[in-house]
Amino acid sequence: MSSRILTAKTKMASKSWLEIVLTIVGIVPIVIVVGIFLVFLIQTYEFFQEVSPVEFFTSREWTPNYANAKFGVIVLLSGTFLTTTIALLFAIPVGILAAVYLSEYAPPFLRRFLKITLESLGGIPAVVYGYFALLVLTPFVKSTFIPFISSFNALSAGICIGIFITPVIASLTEDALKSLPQHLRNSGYALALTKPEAIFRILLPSILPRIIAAVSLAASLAIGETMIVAVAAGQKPNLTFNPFVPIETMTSFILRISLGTVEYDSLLFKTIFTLGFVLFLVTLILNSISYWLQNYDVSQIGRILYKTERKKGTPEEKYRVTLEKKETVAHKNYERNELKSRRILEKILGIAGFICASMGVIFITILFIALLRDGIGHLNWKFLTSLPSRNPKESGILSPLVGSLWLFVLTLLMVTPLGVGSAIYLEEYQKRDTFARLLDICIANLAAIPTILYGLLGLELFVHLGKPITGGNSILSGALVLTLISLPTVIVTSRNALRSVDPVLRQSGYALGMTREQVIIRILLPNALSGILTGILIAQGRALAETAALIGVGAKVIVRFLPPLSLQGLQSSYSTLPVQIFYWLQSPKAEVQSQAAAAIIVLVIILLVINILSVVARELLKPKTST
Amino acid sequence: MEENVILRLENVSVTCYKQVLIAGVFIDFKAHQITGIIGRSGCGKTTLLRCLNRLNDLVEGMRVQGKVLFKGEDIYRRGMDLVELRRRIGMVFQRPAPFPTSIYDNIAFPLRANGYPRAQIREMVELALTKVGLWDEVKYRLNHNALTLSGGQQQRLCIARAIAIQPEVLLLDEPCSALDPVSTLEIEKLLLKLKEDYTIIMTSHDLRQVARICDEVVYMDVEENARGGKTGYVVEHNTVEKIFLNPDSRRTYEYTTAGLTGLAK
Repeated sequence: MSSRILTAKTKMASKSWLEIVLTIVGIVPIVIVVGIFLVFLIQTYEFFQEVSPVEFFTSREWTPNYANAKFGVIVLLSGTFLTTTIALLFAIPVGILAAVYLSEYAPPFLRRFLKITLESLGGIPAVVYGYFALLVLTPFVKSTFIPFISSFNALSAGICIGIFITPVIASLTEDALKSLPQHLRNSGYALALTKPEAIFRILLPSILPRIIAAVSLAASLAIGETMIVAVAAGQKPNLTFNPFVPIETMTSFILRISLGTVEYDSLLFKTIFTLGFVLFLVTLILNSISYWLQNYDVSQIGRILYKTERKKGTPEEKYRVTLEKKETVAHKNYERNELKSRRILEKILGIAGFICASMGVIFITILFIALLRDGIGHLNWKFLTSLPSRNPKESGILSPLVGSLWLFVLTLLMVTPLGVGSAIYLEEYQKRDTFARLLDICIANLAAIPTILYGLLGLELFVHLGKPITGGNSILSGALVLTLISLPTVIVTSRNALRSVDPVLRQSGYALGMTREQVIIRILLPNALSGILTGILIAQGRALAETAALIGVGAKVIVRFLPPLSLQGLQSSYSTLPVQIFYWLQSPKAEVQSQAAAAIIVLVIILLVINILSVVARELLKPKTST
Repeated sequence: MEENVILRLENVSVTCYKQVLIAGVFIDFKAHQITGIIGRSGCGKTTLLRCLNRLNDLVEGMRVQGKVLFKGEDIYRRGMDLVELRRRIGMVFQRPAPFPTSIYDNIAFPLRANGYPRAQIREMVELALTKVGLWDEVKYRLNHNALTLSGGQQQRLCIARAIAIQPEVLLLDEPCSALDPVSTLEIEKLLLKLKEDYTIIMTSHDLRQVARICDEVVYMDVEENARGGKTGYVVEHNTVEKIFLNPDSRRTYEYTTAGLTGLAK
């Protein structure tokens, strides 16, 4: 008897190996956030030792790589402001109208189809949008509307960023509309309101905080967007609000400098980190606003509106009218005008909403037609099996394909244990306290930081400081950066999967006397497997499409060899498919550009296969216990 | 058709996907009367009420068969103008649902939307609020948010909003179930007064209330079929005296005695 109690005690006293490992893994997100903050803060501090803040904020010129360098960040801010404004002007109306159509107008079968196509817009690689802006949209605008538009301009780039962020606004707004109580909608229609009246006067005002949350998240994405601007907006610093001329944004400047070789600790090196810090702070603020508003209680809205209306303080007598003898007018019949425009407006809103909700279908169709037109001629077996070359006839995508494969496998190997372990720690071990809330906010913010910032972080940590291990601009550095980028997505999806495991299963495990470790390994993981796998595949798809961060850590543009399949291979230099596409898109030659189109077709097919795999994983591996 | 009948249901049945929710309903609703619909939960009272102004159209998969004649016109015919129909047949719901705007705008906005000239609107708002007895309570804070009102005031505001657009029929879905007894009595007084101008059709679980204010009563019951689906149907439609004192059906008697005296059968 006594020995039994003793064993139980020792079991409780010492923490299991699994818990210790998971705790270490679980703290990784905080380490990353602190790391980003420190790296950027130090470099920014050093930058301002050499350049005065007054010049940084007031100078109207941006010429850091000239002999007489000027650092007027306003020039780059104006570029970022311009593209972001155009993107939001496009995405806010289109996104909200699409959400309104999907939630209030669409018949069920159409809704599913339109929703899937609209949301797939967010999964298309940014470099493909860049291709679209440069080679489809700009020529179209030039030939039909504005003949004097420059071939690199803020307008096309802004619109393409707008298309890219539309699904964010649309799906968050639609979720908010769905969450409104049905009786609000019913009482609107019962008062003989038409759909536009009910939607614009009752439903949308009620979800205003959620719409603002969606817009600020979308704005943060638009500000951090790198590749579209780098490809299509010209990379030319220009203090202007004219959307028809080339401009440069903060992100595209960082990318341009990263493309060349930057000396560590040079002023230019510190400059891009300072810009990165500005970007980090701006997106952090926008994401925090969004995070706070999304978790905001909808019932509070009334209180806010109430306060503002009380301030207006209209005179008490304002609405007073003299009904001399109320009894006599009780039966009075009031005149009413029949407004034809109400019904017409209802139809117009339906049609406009349908067009906006079809954005996904329209964009993907045009994109595919353009890709086939430009790229199909190049697409053959030789293209897939040749190394890139300056001669377009012999050039191919073998080494970028192999590079992408290396990165895919390495990232998968690193992000799976880290992400899933972190998720298990957060769900199963972490107590719900202030520290846990801090972790939640860290993860939410990590998921929304512009990827180019991860590129800069990797440049300092892995390429510069970690050179003895990683070998500088190597496959390993690239894979480490992609791991950082994928980690938040994997953590969030894995946590959701773990949370959705039936609590009865977990409790019955404990009831049978299993230890916590046994419950996790035997019960939780098998049941959450399909959800976890789907999350990993989605994150891997994004990693495969990533361009900006890899250019940041020095992916090469023309690689004429294949990395050896050994440990040395990890330290080899590399290229990936999206980076190669970006490089080809920068060429003015039509033949090279069509190679880019052919490579995009290959990239899109690979991403499509990964997406299908994730759907298959979800359907086939569904836990058999749930019916 | 009798002169007095304003809404006539002919063999109405409601299905949601393959489930039959209500079947075989024939009712004549008479103008300027309060008709109460009673029956236990799940027998389709609310669904039936929502058929009358086609709010069921908003629910996916819901279909209505049979004829609903409003002044001799089938409201389920093709090309029916739903906005106009809902203007003429107003509805108030179980839970008060004021819009998150000011008290004034809650009434004024539907009026403006429905094409009443701006010059009349203030007067109409005052009249509607006077009719529901809310004017004196809120006249100095018309620009306050409607959500700051108490539950009873909110419900009366919802009724005021519904009658302001001058409907001919008013549908009330358990209008007092979320209210305290004092507010309930206020609303009952109001309904008796409104009867002169409107036709009122209401559902209620409170049999005493039905006995107090209704002129006619429809009793509905629900039956479970072999596959587990539940279908509601009308058992009896009679004047209020007959329903409570001398009903035709034994089941009506059992329901009303159980409800009024607390005695199970």
